[in-house]
Amino acid sequence: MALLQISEPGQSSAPHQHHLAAGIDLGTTNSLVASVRSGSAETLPDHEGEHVLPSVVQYHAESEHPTVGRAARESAVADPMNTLASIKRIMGKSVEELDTVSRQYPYAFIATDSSVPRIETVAGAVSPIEVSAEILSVLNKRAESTLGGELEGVVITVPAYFDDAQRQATKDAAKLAGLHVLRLLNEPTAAAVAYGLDSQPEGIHAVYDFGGGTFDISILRLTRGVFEVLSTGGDAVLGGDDMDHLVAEWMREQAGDEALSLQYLLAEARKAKESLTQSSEVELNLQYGDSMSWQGVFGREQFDELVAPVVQKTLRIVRRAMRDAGVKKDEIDEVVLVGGSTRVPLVRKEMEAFFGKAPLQGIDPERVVALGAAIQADILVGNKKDGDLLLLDVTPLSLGLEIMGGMTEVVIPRNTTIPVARAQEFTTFKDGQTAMSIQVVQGEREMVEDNRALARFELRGIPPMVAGAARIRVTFQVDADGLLSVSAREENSGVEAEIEVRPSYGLSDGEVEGMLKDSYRFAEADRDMRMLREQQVEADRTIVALEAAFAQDGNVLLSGDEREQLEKSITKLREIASEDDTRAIEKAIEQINKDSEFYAARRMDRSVNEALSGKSVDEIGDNG
Amino acid sequence: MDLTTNYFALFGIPVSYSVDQGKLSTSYRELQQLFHPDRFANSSEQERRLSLQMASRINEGNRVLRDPIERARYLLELNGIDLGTDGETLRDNQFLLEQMELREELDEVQHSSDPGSGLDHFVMQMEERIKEQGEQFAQQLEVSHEEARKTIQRMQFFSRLYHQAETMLDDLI
Repeated sequence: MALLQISEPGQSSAPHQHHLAAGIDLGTTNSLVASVRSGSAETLPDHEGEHVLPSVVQYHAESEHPTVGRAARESAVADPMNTLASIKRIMGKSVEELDTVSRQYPYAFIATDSSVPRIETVAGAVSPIEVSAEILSVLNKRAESTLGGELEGVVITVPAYFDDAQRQATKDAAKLAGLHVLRLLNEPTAAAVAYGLDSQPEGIHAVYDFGGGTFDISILRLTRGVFEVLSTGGDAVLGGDDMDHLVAEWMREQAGDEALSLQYLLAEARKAKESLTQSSEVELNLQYGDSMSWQGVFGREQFDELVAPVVQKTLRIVRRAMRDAGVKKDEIDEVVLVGGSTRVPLVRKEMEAFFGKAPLQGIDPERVVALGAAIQADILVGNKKDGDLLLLDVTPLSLGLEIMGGMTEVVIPRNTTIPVARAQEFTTFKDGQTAMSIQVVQGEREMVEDNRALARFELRGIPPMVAGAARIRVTFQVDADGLLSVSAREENSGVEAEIEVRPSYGLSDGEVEGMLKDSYRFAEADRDMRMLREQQVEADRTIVALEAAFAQDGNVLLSGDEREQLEKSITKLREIASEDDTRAIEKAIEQINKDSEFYAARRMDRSVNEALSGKSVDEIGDNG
Repeated sequence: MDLTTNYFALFGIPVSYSVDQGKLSTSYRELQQLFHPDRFANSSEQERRLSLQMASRINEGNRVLRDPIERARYLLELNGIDLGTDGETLRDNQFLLEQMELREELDEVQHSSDPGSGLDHFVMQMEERIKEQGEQFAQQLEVSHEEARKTIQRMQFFSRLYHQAETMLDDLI
């Protein structure tokens, strides 16, 4: 039997070492963590053998540590104000936007100086980002204790229809929880990966992902290991929760008592919904007041009638996504159902009728997203050296900016493959105009006010010219996580302005840092230790990447002198990283990045040239 | 990094209006396999940035070469003709008449008893027209850039109607 190798603590990773990584499905109702172990992806259970972690966090007056999961969920009725559930639905929302959904929550929302809303609890005010970070921390600890080490990185799934603010909020939550995010992955894409690797079915797939609080549809094409998302559509606030609310309303009407608490009714509604996936009717017994109660029978037909509008809404979104993909119903090879809400028989029935074929259901719909995320994390962290699986995703919503008259000018239309960069030219409106305010929006509506305002920034110092003479080139760049950055440049003068889009109602960088610092999760010493550790890991990562590059092409692309210089820089960085001056390590990393820039460019040029010459050989072959 | 290579060369296909879509797809996937940021998750910061630029360019090239109108515009651009932003209208009476008729037709369809299937049909019709004009463009490109430019303007008109009809279909949701 081969002995397992264990490296000395703190040593830089050996080339064939297995890197620890996990996939996290941060759901509205439930969350899961999964990892690839000995070749196959599996979800990880807690000490009691439970895989699913309810996404519920209960804050306490007397304890610094909130309760997360099942125990918290059970306290929802008794302690509604401090037990926070379905927080994903308010991730990335502004205080104003919350007005429309807050009636569905019993919590005390408060506006603060920050643009991010807070919820008042006995443990103080918390933001949705902090609540999500608590859930992520629990999953992180679970993964580390199961896998036996610190995670190098995670892939976190988000609804495909999440906008920039919601994605950024999720990434901030991960940062607070101390996680290194390899990628944000769209949930339907993750599901397709889990199914795809299972059977490698080539062709066009529709992934219908109906969860607790979000709905997504993605149309994908799988060709030789490449998943191309053709289109995606959805609703970031449509899910099983909505069914529960409809049923709860109905129960309240039936019982005829306004005093029934919403939390209680929702819990009963959810139970009834779950029972009705198996049986055709369920006995209701609602208790309220001291001795009052209401009994009745709730049948599946009644349930179906109540929730039909929700299901119909998803079907309309499916139709639009198919049109965007340019795909007809009969071209769909497989239909995959994902998410807890697809357990509702009406959903399955309607899907089967719509697509005219039975949906795939080999993998547990509640776990499939986490499994797909784990597979992608395993590839990204570098465990599969030449894993040929590649995911090409799209932007779910159009990105644009405000032009005269409050109209939206789309720069990147929805369903554009990412990463993408696109530029558009604009000009000044008045003679002598020296500044321009650029309002970035996301959404499909013509008027700016109907879309989501993402950020506003200003380009100043434009030399005075007559109206229409300035040439302002605005460039939108969306990275592989779906996050946007925007830059603007006046072409005649070269004046530039650039921002990474931190949504207007997201946390500022300062706030994220502040939360990290204030966080009671870390004592001061721990916190400093953690920041040092982060920089050391980053230094290690940088050195490993450079050395791997040397091994590949260092003797071809670098002169003796250049290589010697870079090796000196590495030695220096390694020395600094072995000490404990966090700021010095940070600086040394910046320096080595700058010093090796020319080398990175040469490497990329070489790859491009190789790819291009490979093509021309093909050409000759084809012609001859 | 040299980003000036034209899209046709990037994908290894001949510079021509008619594009072998199968070959473009294969080539596109091969290039993304090499340059997508996911392939550089453990590389240095600069290489990650370069791969982001390269992958963005590959995506943009794929979009331009796949789209009948964008591809036509791009070919004219390669021939040194910049269409700029549209604004100039065609002085072609016959085409003006046709435009009015099509607008009326779209309006009628929208207010008909079954707008869904009517709009579906209209969308297909516009697709067909764009394709016809594309064939014409391919021939004109060899002979007269001016004529080719006018054809693009016609295609853009059909495309606008196409999108209007699609928006109307969305509104039926």
